[in-house]
Amino acid sequence: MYKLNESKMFADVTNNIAIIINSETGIYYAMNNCGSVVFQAILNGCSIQSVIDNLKKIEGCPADIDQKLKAFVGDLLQKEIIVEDNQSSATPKFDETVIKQDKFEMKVSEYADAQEMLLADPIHDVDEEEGWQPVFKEEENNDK
Amino acid sequence: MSKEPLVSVMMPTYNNAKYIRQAIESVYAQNYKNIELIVVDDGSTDNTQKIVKEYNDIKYFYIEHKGIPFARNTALENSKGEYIAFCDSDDYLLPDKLSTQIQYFKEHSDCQIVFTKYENIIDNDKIKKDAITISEKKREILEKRHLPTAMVNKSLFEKYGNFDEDFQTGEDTELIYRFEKNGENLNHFIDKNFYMRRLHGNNITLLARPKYSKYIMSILRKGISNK
Repeated sequence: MYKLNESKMFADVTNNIAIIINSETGIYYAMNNCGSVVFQAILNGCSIQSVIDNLKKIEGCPADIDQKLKAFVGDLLQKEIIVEDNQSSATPKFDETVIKQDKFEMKVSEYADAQEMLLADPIHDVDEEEGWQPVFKEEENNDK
Repeated sequence: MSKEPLVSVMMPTYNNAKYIRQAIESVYAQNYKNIELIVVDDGSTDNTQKIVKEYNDIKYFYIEHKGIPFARNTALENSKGEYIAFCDSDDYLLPDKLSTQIQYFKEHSDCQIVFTKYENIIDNDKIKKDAITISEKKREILEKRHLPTAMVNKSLFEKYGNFDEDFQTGEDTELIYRFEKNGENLNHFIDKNFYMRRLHGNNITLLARPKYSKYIMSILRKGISNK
C-alpha cells in the first residue's frame, strides 16, 4: 500500500482531477480523470490488488490493466508523489463513467511553469516576532 | 538632453523600525536621483512612523493593517513613476542599482522588466539552519526572478493588474507568474548583485497554509484547463 509523500508533496483531488505540487522543486503534476480516481483510491489506502480487482469488474476493462496500473504506480513512485505505507486497506469505489471515458488510461502530466509562484520563499516574508502575517494567521485560525 | 525617467521605489513596512532606516538611506544613497520613495506603513505599532517622518521627501501612507499585498497596491496607486522599483523595509539596495537598471532599459527597448542578482543577509541567530539551506536551494531556481530586485515598467501593472490581495504572502511571485502567463519576457537579468535581502523568521511552508494552498490549487486548475 501507498500514501502521499507528505514530506514534500501537496495533493488535491477535486472534480476527478488530481493536482500534486512538489514543494521542494515547484514542479506540479496533473492527472487525467481515470488516473485521478485511481490515485484517490491509493490515497484512501486501497491496495494495488484491490484496485485492479475492482477495475476488472468494470465493463470493457482491458486485459493488461495490471500492467497499466503498475506502470502508473511506478511513475508515481519515480516522481516521489507516493511512498510505501503499511496502513490498513480500504475498498475502492470507482465512478465507472469516469474510468470508461478515459478508456482505463491513467496519465500523469508534469509541469514546471509555476516554480516561482510555488516556491515563494516564506523565510523572507514571515517573521516569528515582527512578521507581516496577523491577517493571514487570523484566517488560518478560522479554518481550524 | 531629455530628463531621466522618474522611478518610484515602493517600500511597504510593518513593525520594522529595527531595519527601515537602513532601507531608506540606501534608497537616498542611489546615484540615480530622479526617484520618489513611497513608504506604506501597514499599521505599525512600533517606532516606524517616527523614523520615516524624519525624512521630508518620503511619500508616507499609514494605513489600517491589511497585509503586504494591500500595502504594495497602496504604494502602486500613489506612484507617479514611469518605472517601479522595490525595497522591502528590512532589506537595502546597493548604490548603483537604479542607475544600472535604467541604463539597461535604455539599451534594451523591448524590456519591460529587468531583474538583478541579490545577496542574502543572515544576521539573526534564531534562524534555523535548515531554513537557510532550503532557502539557498530554492534560490538556485528563483535567483533570476526575484521581484524585489526588479525594475518594472509601470505599464505592466496597467495591463495585468496590481498585486493579488488574496495572497497574504507570495504575492510577488504570483505577480511574476501572471506576467509570464501573459507572455511577458522575464529573461532580462543583470548578472550582478544590487539587492541585499535579509533572512529571518521560520521556515513555514507556504503550501501548508490552508488559504494559500487552496488558492494556489485553484490557479493551477485554471491554468491546466487552458492547456
